[in-house]
Amino acid sequence: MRSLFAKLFFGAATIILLSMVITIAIAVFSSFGPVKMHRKHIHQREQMLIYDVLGLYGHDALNALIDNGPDAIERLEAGLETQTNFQSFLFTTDAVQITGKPAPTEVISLVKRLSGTTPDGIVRDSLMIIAARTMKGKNGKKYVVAAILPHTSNDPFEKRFPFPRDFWLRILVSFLLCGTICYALARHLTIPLDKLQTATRKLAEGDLSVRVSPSMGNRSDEIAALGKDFDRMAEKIENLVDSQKRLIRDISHELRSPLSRLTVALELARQRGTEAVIPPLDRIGLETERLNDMIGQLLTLTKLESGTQRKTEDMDVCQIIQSIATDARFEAQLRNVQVKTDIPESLPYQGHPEMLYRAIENIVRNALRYTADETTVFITASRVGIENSWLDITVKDQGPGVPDSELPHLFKPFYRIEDSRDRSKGGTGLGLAIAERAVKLHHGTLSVENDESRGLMVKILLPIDLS
Amino acid sequence: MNRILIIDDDVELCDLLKDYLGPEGFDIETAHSSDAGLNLVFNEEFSLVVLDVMLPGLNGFEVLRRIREGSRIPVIMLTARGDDVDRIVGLEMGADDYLAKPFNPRELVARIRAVQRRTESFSVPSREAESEPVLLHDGDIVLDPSNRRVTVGDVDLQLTSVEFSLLHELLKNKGRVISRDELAEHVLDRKLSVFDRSIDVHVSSLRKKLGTGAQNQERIKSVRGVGYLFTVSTPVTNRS
Repeated sequence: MRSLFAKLFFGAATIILLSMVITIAIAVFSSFGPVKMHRKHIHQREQMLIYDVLGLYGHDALNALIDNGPDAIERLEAGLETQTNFQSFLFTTDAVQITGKPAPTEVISLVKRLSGTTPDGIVRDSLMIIAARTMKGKNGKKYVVAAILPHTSNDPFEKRFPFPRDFWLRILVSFLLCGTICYALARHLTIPLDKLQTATRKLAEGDLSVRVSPSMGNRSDEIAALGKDFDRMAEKIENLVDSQKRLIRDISHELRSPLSRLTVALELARQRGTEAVIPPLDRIGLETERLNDMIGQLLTLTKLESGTQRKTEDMDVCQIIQSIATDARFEAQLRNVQVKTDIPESLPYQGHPEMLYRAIENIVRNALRYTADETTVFITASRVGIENSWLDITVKDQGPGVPDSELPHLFKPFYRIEDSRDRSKGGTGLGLAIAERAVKLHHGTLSVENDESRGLMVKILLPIDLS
Repeated sequence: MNRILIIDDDVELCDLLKDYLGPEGFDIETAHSSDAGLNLVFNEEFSLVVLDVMLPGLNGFEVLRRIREGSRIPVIMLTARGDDVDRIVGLEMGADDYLAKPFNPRELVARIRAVQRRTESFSVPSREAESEPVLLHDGDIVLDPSNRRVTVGDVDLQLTSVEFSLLHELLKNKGRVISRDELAEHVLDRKLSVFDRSIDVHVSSLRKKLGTGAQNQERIKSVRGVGYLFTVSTPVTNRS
C-alpha cells in the first residue's frame, strides 16, 4: 500500500464507490420521504375520481331502478358493459344484490364491510380495483353501488423495491468500469515514473547515455517535463564526464611529446657522457620509463572507461596466463620469488585478449610487488559454477595483505593504502583499476580478500557464453 | 648512401634525433610538414623514411599512401603507444615496421639497421659463398634475390621489402610450418611482443598480392596457434 500506484488506484476507487453508495442511499431514503407523500396524494386523487364515477353511475342507476324497476338497470348495465370495462352491481344496504350478474365474492365481502360509519370503500389488487359507495335514492332509501374497474394504471411506486430488476448486473458493470478507469489512471501516472526510476538507476550505475524523453511518447504534463529535465541533467553530466576523460586522454597524449624528446636527450647524454654520469642517467632512464608506463596505463584506463571496444575474439586464457607467468618468473627470480601456475591444458574463451591480458598482468605484477622475498605467487585458473559456466582466475601472494577496511577501495585509481611502506613498492597505482574495468568489460567480477594464512587473494570471475 | 628522411612536426625531437643519429653513421634530413616531406621523398634520394603518424594537415597514413603510390622506399612509422589500430593500419598500408612513441633512439637505430639489412643483403653482391643468391620458385611464382624481383606468371609483383623477405623465408622453407616468432626474427630482426600482429598483417597483404594458386587454393596457409606454411603447389603432371 506504500506504492504510488496503490494509492492512486485505491484512492480513486474509494471515491467512486463511495459516491455510488451515497447515490443508492439517497434513492432508498427518498422512497420513504417525499415520494411516499406524493404517492399518497396520487392515491387520494384516484380514489376521488373513482367515487365520482361511481356517483355518476349510481345516480342514473338509482333513478332508473326507482322509476322503471330492476329491468331498466339490466339494460343500463348491459349498455355500459359494451362501451367500457366497467362492471357494476347494485346492492341493498344489507348486501343483497338487486341487479347485475352474480357478483364476485370479493365485491360482496367489500359491500358487507360497509356500514353507516364507513359508507365507502376501495379494495385493490394487482388485477382490479373494487369500489363500493352507499347512496341515497330519490325515494329516500339507501343503496350500495359497487363496481369492478380493471387495473389499468401501472403505478411506478407499486413495488416496494425502488431499483430496476438488473440492479446487480448494473452494480457489477459499474464496479468493473470503475476498476478499469482507476487502474488506467493510476498506470498512466505511474508508468512514466517507473521509467524515470529505471533511468535514474542506470545513470547512477554509470550509464550516462540514458535518456527518458523518447519513451514518454507525446505526453506534455509535469511528469514529461520532469523527464526532459532529467535528460538535460544526464546530458550535462555526460558532457562533463566526457570532457574530463578527454582531458585526461589529451594530457596523457601530450605528455608523450616531451617524454619522447627526453628519451632521445637521455641517450645523447649517455653517448657523450663519462663513466661517472652513467648511474644517474640510468636513474633518469628508469624514472622516464615509469612515467611512460603511467601514461600508458592512464590511456588504457580512459580507453576502457570510454567503452569503445572492438569485437570479441576467440582466445585461450591458458596461453595468456602462461605468457604472463613466463615474464613474471623472469622478474621474480631477482628476489627469489617463485611463480607457480595450476591451470588446465587450455581454456577457450571469447573476449578482448589484450584487455584480459592487461587485467591478469596487472594483478600478477601487484602480487609480485607485495609478496615477501623467497615466497611463491600462485596463479590458478579453472572452470567453476553451474555447468562450468564461469571462468575463475585466482592470483595469490604471500605478502602482508591489506587491512579489511581498505579492501573496497583497492580498485580506485591511485588509491594508496595508509602505510608508508607502500610508496617504496613503486607501481603506477592504476593496475588494479585497469584490471577491474577490464574484467567489467567482460561482464565479470573482480574480488579481493585476505587469505587465511597470509597475503592477498585476487579472484577474477568471468561468465562464459555457452551458446 | 645512408640518407634518412624524418617526417615529424616536432622540430625539437627532429633536432635531437639528428644529433643522435649523426654519430651512428646516418645522414639525416628532416621535414616538419607532410607536404615538405612528400616533396623530399619524390625529389631527393633517401634510403629510408621515418614517418610520424600524428602530423597536422595530411596525417601520416595519407602521406604513406602517397609515398606508396610512387615508391617502394622502406618506411618506419612512429605511432602512439597503446594504439594498436594505428600500427595495424600503418602496416596494412605498406609500412615496413613501426615504433611506438616515446621510443629509445637505440631501438630506432636497431629498426633502421634491420630494415636496411633486409634490403641490402640481397642487392649488394654477397662476399660470402653460402649466401649465393639462388632463384626460388613454386609453380608460377619466381623469386629472384639478386634483383629483388618477384613474378607470378608474367606479372611483376610490387612487394615492400618486408613482404619480399617474408616470401623469401616462406619459399626457402616451403612445405614446412614456420612459427610467427621465427618469421619475426628472420624478417623483422626482432622478437614479437604479446599482441604484436605485425607478421600477420604482412602475411595478409602478401597473400592479397600473390593471389590464389593453380587449384584456387591459398598459397600461404595459417596454422592456428603456430605460424604459417607455404603450400607446395601440386606438380603439373603433363609436363613435356
